[in-house]
Parts: sequence; structure tokens; C-alpha cells
Amino acid sequence: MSPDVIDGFAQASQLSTILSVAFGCLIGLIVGMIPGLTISTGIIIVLPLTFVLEPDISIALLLGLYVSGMTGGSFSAILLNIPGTPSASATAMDGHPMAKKGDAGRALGIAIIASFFGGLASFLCLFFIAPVLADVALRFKSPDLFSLVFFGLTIICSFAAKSLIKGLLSAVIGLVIVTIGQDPMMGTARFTFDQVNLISGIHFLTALIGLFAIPQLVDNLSEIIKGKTASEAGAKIKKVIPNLRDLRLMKMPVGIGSFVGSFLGILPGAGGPIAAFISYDYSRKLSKTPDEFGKGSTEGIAAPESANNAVTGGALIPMMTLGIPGDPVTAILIGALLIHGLAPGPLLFMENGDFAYGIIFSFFWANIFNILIALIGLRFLVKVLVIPKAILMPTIAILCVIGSYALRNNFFDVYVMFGFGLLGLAMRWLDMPIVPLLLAMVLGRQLEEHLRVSLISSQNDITIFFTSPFSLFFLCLAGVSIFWSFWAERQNTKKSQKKLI
Amino acid sequence: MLNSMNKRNLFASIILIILCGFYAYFTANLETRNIQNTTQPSFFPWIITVCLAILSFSLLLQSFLLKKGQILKKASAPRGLIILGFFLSLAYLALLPLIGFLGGNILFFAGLSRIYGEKNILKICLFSVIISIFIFYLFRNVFQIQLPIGILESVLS
Repeated sequence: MSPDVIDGFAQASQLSTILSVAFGCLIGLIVGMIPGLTISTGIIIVLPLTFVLEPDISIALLLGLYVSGMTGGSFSAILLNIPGTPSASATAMDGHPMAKKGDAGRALGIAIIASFFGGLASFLCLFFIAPVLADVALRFKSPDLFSLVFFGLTIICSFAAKSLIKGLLSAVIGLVIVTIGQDPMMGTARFTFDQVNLISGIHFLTALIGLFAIPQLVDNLSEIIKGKTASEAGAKIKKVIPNLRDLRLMKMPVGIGSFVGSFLGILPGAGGPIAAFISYDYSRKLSKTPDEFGKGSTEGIAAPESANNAVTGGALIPMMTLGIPGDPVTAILIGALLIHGLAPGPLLFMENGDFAYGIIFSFFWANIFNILIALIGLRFLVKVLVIPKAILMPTIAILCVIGSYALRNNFFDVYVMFGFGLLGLAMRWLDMPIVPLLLAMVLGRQLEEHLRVSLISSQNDITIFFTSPFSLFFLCLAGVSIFWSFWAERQNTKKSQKKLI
Repeated sequence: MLNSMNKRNLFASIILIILCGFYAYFTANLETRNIQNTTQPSFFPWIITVCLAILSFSLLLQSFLLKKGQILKKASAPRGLIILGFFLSLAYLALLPLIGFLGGNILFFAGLSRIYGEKNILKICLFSVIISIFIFYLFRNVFQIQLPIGILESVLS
């Protein structure tokens, strides 16, 4: 066994790291279960903490939050029929009917255990696939890396958007923002308008806080007015551990969910909701009792829950090996690493192998603590659902402001955060996805650097992108991704036009 | 007003085309460097300008070509409260350097709490003071992040 693996395990198993994972899991379960708060919001809340903690401890905290946030989302989906996170939407379809039959505890138990197995399966994928992929990625040169980042952006746009044009526009707006600040090759100031604060560019974490938190604060305001309450959360939870029959029934959907989730997690932008619905659909098709689905079926809870937790480990693979985030959470993880001077990508395994394996094992611990805290503390945790929004939302707003300030001890970042909040609201009004913009902000600088380095090395010969097999492969994939999205959008438009007629 | 997605797309595309024009203008005025066989700082922004222009015009075309746009339901969001929240945030941000995080957060928390439906004044005062002080001291003393306290500096120090 490689010494990096052993060192990584030792690093992840230190008391401080373990406590950090456990704390992250607790916050994740709470944030995940509160409707209106997403995992991204949870991360925004604890983000200022990561600035002062050691890198391994901060990543452990964020991983705990990421894993448990997925599980926590199912709690409110089952108890209130309001998914705490988008990934838990499919869980509500069978979880809530089972809870209505008086089996809320059993439904929650099935969700927690399925989440655990999904997470564990994706840990194995991460452990075995990530180092191999990092080895391959080490052979990539600038043109290959440019094409890879370009492919990453196109696939994110196509997955994240109903309209490809809007998805691409969102990404291009992100690229416009990235060009503010110093030019990465020559250090020339671009679009800074003689503002000192703009020379180092706009920090993407500031943008992220504004883009996610402010629209969510507005959303919650609407929900309060609609009068959505959490009174059902007080329902008594009896037995949490599922019976033997349930465990037998869970085998097949958990297998499907784990496979689909891990695979889709690797694809940037695919995310938990897609994995959860695909797994639900496959499990129904392969089930011996498909008629039970939608009425409180064990399989109907297990499949999406294992899938959305399996996505977490899958999403860490491209983040760690290629430096490409698959979703906002992994984008924040990249940001947290960069703040500590560690760049994710193939070199992470080569130069900081122990740290890379430390992340992988922290992910393992996150899954262990997720099941332990969720099963033991379930009865107390669900009480959080009755916290009044009039206290919760202002607290989040204050934490967002302090979080943006703490990044660089600068009021300017607070104003930028607010500006991005307004941008986020405008984009939602236009039905334009936010995720491509955010990921373009993470990847934009790399895209420019690799493009310009490639052109300089080839003396401005663009055929360099087509002569390297890796680069050509990624460009073809990008082409397929764009073509497929256009085709899918056309089909959807035709369908909706027919409906209107 | 602007209750169909086509109208919204039209509006957005016009804004984006104007933005694209400004971006192109500033890109054209970027500093150049006399280094052989290298790309200029304006190289990547020009690519973005072209992409932005193509996509903005595509959105404009799309808003004209689609025969009948989806009519959107009237927003259920409480417009008055959102506007109130917006102005409260503006006032908070403007006063933040002056009154600092401690005083600013207490007032901002209280205002938001009222907007989010809390009617009991005692509860509002209690929670806004306790939570704001707790968060402030957590960041300032535990995380060692120096949060400015503005005019309260002389009182607290």
C-alpha cells in the first residue's frame, strides 16, 4: 500500500479532523432538512470558519456538511412533503406516503441507511478511480487541459439549463466577470476602472454567497407569506431501524442508486436530482411490485436516497483529479483549497498525495458519522424544522455579510456580494441558471491560461487543439454535448408548442 | 408587465447587447504589449465578446421566432416586503462602515425579523441583540476576524 494512503488515513483519523467531520455532519443534517436552505447555503454559513482552520480540517468540515446535507434533505421530504434539497425531491414521492401511514420513523431509517450505502459505494469509486484518473491527467498538456475545461463548461451548461442559449449565456457572463482584474499571463490590469479593489479580481466565493443566499432569502419570504408551516414535523417518530424485509427489498434499488449516482456524479453538472430520478425510474421498472411506487414503497425511498449520496463521492473525482467542479459545492471545495494555497488537479496526488488521500478518507468518515448522527439524533434533529424563519433568515443574512467581509477584510466584497445577489434574482427572473456562471468563474482563468499558453507554444497555430488525441477527444465530447442539448431543446420546444396549440 | 418568457428574453437580450457593446469598447482600449509571438491581454476578452454577441442575438431571435411564449403565473412574492427588504439592505450596507458590524447587525436583524413576520417587539429586540452579539464575538474573538465596530469603537474599547 502506498505510504500516501497510510498517511492520508492517519491525517483523516486525527481527533481534530474527526471532530470537524462530525460537526460538519451535524450542520449538514440541520441545513439539509430545513426547506429553503440548500447545502450551498450551509457551506456559506460555515465558510468563514474555513479561512482560519487548517486545510485538512476545513475540507473535512465541508465534506461532512456535503454528505449529511444530502441525507438531511430527505427528512423534510418525508415528514412534510417539502424536499429540504432539490436532490430529495424523488424521496418525497414514497417517503411522505409512508410517513402518512404512520411509518415516518421507518421511512427515515430507510433513507438514512440507503444514503449510507450510496455514500460508501461512491467512496470506493473515489478511492479506486481518482488516483488512476489523476495518473492519466498528468499526461495532459496545455491544449488538452484547455479542451477539457471547455468540455466541462459545455456539459455544465447543457445539464444545468432548460435552454442551452441561456446556459451558455450564464457561463459567458461568468467569463466576463473572470476577466476583471490582472491578466493571468502579463499582469496587465483589465476592466478595473482604476479601482484598487478590482485589481485582484472578484472572488468567486463572494459571488457565490450573493448568487445563492440572496435569492433564497427572497424565496423564503414568499413561502412565509404563503403560510407553509412545519407543524407536521412534530409527528411522533417511532421505530427508526428498518425491518429485515425492508433491508432485503433495499438491496436492488441501493445497487442501482449507488451505480447511477456515482457515475452521474463524475459528470460535471449532472448532480443529485437527475441521479435520484433516474434511479427511482430504473428501480420502478425492475421492481417486482412497481404498483407500490408512489404509495410508500421501500424501494422508492432507497433508490433516490442512495443515488443522491452516491453523487457526492462521484463529484469529488473530477474535482480532485482534474480540478473541474461538478456542482457549486465542489466549486466551494476548490475555493477552500485555493485559499490555503492548494490547487486541486492531477498534481494534488503527486505533490500532496497524503493530503489527497486525507480528503478521500475524510469523505469515508463523513459517511460513517452521517449514519451515526442521523440515527442517534433523529428525534432531536427534526425539532429544528419548527425554528421560526423570522429568526433563521436574519441570522443567515448576517452570516453572509460577515462571510463576504471576512474573505479579504474588505467592505468592497460585501457590496460585490449584494450586487451578485441582485444579479442572481435577475437571472432567476429570466429562468437563467446560476450554476454555469459560478463554474465559469472557477474555470475561466484556467481556460484562458491554457488557451494562451497553447497558442504561444504553437506560435498561434490553432491546429494544436486537433492534433493532440486527448484534446481532440474532449473537443468531440464538447461538440456532442452542445449538439445533444440543442436537439433536446428543440424536441422540448416542439412538445410545448403542440401543447399550446 | 413582462409576464411572458418571450418578453423577458427580449428585454434581457437588449440589455446583454448593450453590455456586449460596452465590453467590446473597453476591450478595444486595453493596454497592448510589444512582445513577439504572444497573445495580447485583450485576446481572451475578444473571444468572450464574440460569444456574448452571438448568444445575445440568438436570444433576441429566439424571443421573436417562438410563436407563443409561455405565459408566466403572477409572482406570489410579496412585492412590498421585498422592496422594503431591499431598502433596508441598502441602508445597512451604506451605514456599515460607520456603525460597524455590531450595531449594524442588531438593527439589520431586527428589521429583517419584522419583515419575515415576527410581530412581537420584545422577541425581535431580544433575538436581534443576543444573536448579533453572539455572532460578533464568535468571529472577533474565536475566529480572530477583525470586524470593525465603527462609532462603537470608543465605547467598547
